[in-house]
Amino acid sequence: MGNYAQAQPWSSRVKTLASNQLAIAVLAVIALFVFGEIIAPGFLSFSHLMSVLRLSVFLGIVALGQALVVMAGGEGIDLSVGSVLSLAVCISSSLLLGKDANIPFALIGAVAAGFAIGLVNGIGVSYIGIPPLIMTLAMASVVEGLSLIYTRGYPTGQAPELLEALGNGRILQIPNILVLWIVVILAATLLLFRKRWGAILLGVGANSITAELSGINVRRFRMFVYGICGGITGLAGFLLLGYVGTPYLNLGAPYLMTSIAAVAIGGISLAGGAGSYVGAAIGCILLTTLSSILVALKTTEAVRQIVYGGLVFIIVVAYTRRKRDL
Amino acid sequence: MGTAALPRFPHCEGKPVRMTVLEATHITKSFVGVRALSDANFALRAGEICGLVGANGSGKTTFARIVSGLLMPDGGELKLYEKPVNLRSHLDAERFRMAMVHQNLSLVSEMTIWENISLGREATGAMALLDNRAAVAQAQAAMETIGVKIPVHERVKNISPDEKQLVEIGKALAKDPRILILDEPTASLDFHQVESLFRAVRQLKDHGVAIIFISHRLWEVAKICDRLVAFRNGETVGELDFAVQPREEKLIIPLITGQEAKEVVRKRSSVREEEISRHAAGGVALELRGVSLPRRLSDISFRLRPGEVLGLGGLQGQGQEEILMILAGYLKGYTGEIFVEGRPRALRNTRQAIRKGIALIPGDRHKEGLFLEHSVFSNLLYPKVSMHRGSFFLPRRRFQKIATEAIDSMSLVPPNPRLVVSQLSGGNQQKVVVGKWLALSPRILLLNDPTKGVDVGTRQNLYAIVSRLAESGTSVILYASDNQELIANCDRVLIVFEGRIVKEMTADEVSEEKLVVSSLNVEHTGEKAPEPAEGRGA
Amino acid sequence: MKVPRAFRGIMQDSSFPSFVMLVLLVIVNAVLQPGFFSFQVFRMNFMTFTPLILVSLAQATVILVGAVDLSIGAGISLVTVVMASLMQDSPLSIIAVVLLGVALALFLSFFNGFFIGTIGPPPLIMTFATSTMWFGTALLIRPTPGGHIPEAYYTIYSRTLAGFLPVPVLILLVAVAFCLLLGRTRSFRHLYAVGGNERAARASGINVTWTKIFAFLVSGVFVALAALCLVGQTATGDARSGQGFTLNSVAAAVIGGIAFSGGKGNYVGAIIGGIILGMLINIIYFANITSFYQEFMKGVIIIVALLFGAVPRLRRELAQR
Repeated sequence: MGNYAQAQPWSSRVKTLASNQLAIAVLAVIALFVFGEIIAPGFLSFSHLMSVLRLSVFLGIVALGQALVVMAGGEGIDLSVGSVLSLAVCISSSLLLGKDANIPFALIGAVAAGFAIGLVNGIGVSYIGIPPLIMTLAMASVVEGLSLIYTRGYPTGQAPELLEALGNGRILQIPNILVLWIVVILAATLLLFRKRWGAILLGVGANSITAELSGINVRRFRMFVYGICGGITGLAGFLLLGYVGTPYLNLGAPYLMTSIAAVAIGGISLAGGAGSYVGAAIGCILLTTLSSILVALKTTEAVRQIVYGGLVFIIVVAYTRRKRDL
Repeated sequence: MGTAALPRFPHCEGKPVRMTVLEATHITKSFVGVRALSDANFALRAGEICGLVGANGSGKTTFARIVSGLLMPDGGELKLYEKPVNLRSHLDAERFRMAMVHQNLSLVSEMTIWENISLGREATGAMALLDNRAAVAQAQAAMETIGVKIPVHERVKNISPDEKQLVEIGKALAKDPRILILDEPTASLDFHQVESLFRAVRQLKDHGVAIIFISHRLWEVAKICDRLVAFRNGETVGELDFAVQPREEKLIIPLITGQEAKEVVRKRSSVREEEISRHAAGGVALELRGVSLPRRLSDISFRLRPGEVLGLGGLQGQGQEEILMILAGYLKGYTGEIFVEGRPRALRNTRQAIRKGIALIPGDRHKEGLFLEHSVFSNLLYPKVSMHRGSFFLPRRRFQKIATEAIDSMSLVPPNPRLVVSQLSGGNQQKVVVGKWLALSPRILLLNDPTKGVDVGTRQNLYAIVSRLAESGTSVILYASDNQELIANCDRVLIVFEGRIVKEMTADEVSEEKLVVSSLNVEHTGEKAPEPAEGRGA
Repeated sequence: MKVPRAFRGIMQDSSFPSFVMLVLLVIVNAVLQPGFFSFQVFRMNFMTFTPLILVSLAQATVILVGAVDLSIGAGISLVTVVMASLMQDSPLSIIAVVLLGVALALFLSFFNGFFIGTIGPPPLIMTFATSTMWFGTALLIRPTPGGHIPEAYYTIYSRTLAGFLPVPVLILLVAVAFCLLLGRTRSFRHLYAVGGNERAARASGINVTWTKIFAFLVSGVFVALAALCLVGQTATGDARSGQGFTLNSVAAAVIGGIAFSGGKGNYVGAIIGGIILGMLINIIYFANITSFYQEFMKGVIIIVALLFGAVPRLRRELAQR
């Protein structure tokens, strides 16, 4: 391996590449919007733009949890977010029963349930050593079953006014929930790069042994990351209820694939230890825009699935840098 | 591309004239605007062992990779068996019966030794189905040549690192090469194994095999090689022919560093004693009483004074690493008592150890010591961040200052905190591994074979830093697989054998011979001591 | 307790814990399922087990080389849908469509393998994407379950040959024979090397790209057989029929001792894992658990099974630390 002084510092080369990916993603979003306007005039109208952005928020929050799990390394991934999201929606609605007063309970209930499930994932992955893919895939079944058991097949309750206002209302033409998301994006970025927890996360993901030797209890840390992902997903479910109003089973299913796709589009390495949430956020917008276009084209679910899959396939193949043989 | 003509030994008046099997002239190579090689020249004859030396950054590694087909040169000519060739991959090189021994890079741990040796060249019988019996036999033959006694059905994951290195060598030998390139083959080996390796290498030489021996261990190069070629700053700067010149390291070092060799002067032990007792007012820095780890360590007890450098010696894998790992809080489940600065402490995890001022420089910097894709800054600050308390945001400016200070003290090259660590040389990477602990002002520094695969310049640099730390009161425990390092740097040495401390020696008593003898724990069993390895000390 | 050396070797084999689990499950299953040891029940059980075992083998092969294939379920669905949409009653049609189905399964696997081998995207996402693509395609061809499978075909699956060999078992034996043959090839040995330590494999001159493609092709063979069985069992093409197979295949392989990191484990374990999973599903069914709880129980039991499988490794880790 050469040690020769680099004419161009490598770190800045990495940054250029990453920002290239971001630039591509942003360009793709713009291109999609333009395409959308062509096929369905009015697509680019402010109100429609806001609608699409609003819809992206929920995916965006789920993608945050997924991003954290992936960044924590150890081939981390959470395939249970879809079912946890569904469960959170059901729990929230059954606790709310349409009453504003119940909001705190429902919020705590949803987040706590998600956090608990996440912890179970974390224990299985971190302490027992079950590969994350399998553990979370199996938990997805478990949680799906839990949803069935909890609701007896028939989800009850609905969102109260306040929550619906949050999910659907606007401040100065900008959806409330979008404002929330912007705050979340800022907070997440600060967390990753300016706070101790974020720096530790990136180290744990980059090399868990080195992190451990530096004084981090890696097992416990990773367990909590899974817990936090679950909690964040629970929150997303709570908020999502405000948007849809009344719950139904498997509401969360489409969010699994898209959360992983958003993470991939955002340039977050699946090996862990690197990445930023902003990329994933742009990925969410991209995917939601695409979905919106597909709906505008009146495509069937079949076509939508093919397009989603194809898009992720192309992105993943295009973004992969072949590791050089050392 | 068929196999080249195999070297014959044309006789001329009864004296064999050896063919020049490999000749490189005016090889150049650049990477991204940096000249790695400006003028490399090298010639190798059949039946000759030629050493290849040079500091990290001298171009010798690049040259070795070009010669073995891993890299393509920009300019110059490479001839094999006196015919010009164009190697496009290391497989091309293998077709010319060249084999390279990597630094344990080509073994699959889940597979057995024989499976590994035949990997990629599996013997096949009828219908292209595997012929395992032939493969096993071949593996056994190869291992016998180097004098290794492990059954070839053992899985590689179950053998020790030095045995793995030997398997790598066996794998290269099984290819029946005419040209053999050994890249740091003795890095993990103890003197016994080095002797076995040298015997095998001499045997190959007698059979007309040409060998390139790349190593940082200059005394070994001086011992086994017929000639050596030195690289510096991307070009061949000199040659030594041991047929006419004495086998002395003193002659090699100037070629590598371009300066007169400095006699590494050990401080006289009386001076050290005085330094240590100045700090001793603080009491004993560390004490272990009866520390045991099931199946690994029994009844380890010793004292460490502030400012003292204590060495752990002995054969590989006798428990030295485990002692360090326990003190670092990484290995759990020990019994016994540990006292840090006089007070009993339970070192149940790394955080507790670090809080008590203990820092570990691990043995494998890639796997245990670095975040390869992160910046120098990020690596240097991680322990500090990990132990950091208080402020809402990380104090960026203060941390940047810390990074700059660490880069200065370690003389990191290039001194850019934003560089990605994977781009640094091995020696500089090791500086990062050590440097990240400086900000925490450790009181006890544990070194787990810190200079493995590190060049002479960096080694001196590192030990200078260690010595400075010791002078200022930090205690050091050093485990080195290389006896010379123990002799040169330690005030006391403890020999570990099968999980026990079997001997203690002071700096005055220690010598290569005595270390070897105690490492084998021979005195206790009353066996005759083996021939001591040649070395500087005795 | 001093264990005789011969036994110790067997106990250390990666498939041993799953073997123990198998024995336990046989006992539980025998208690719950009436007539467990009768030939009828044995035959019926294997009609369900065989596809599971086959996908377990498929997934095991891919995991061994260091990848994973989340598109196995969707691939099977697509193949069944295509077959059910094309097959006519004539023997010529049956044979042609069977061959087409096999070719399609191989192509789908090759698609994954090719990109993973040459360009190298993370297999997880790659196969996740292709699974969505296959699912969408299947849905496009057949939005609702249906299609036509001639009686001549689907009755074969429930037949018994020579009075004692059920067809599913025969198919299994064919698969086993294939496995044995495979084990003696160079490419198969390379599979373990690439999965165990890709860098080392490359340094030893192994063509890593081809080995990965090879693994996916082999997996495609098993997937093809599984699709043939599934079609024989259900006589319809359903775009969602394969959904459960993905988790099942991964769980079965891992329970069977295939290490997720690659390069470790063997087909014996994969087969046992498949049988174990079949038994688990049986047990859930025969334990008369209400439908609400079935999905839940399946997930829980898989996790418990994985836990059980992780115990020997945990013990070893604790001993070392």
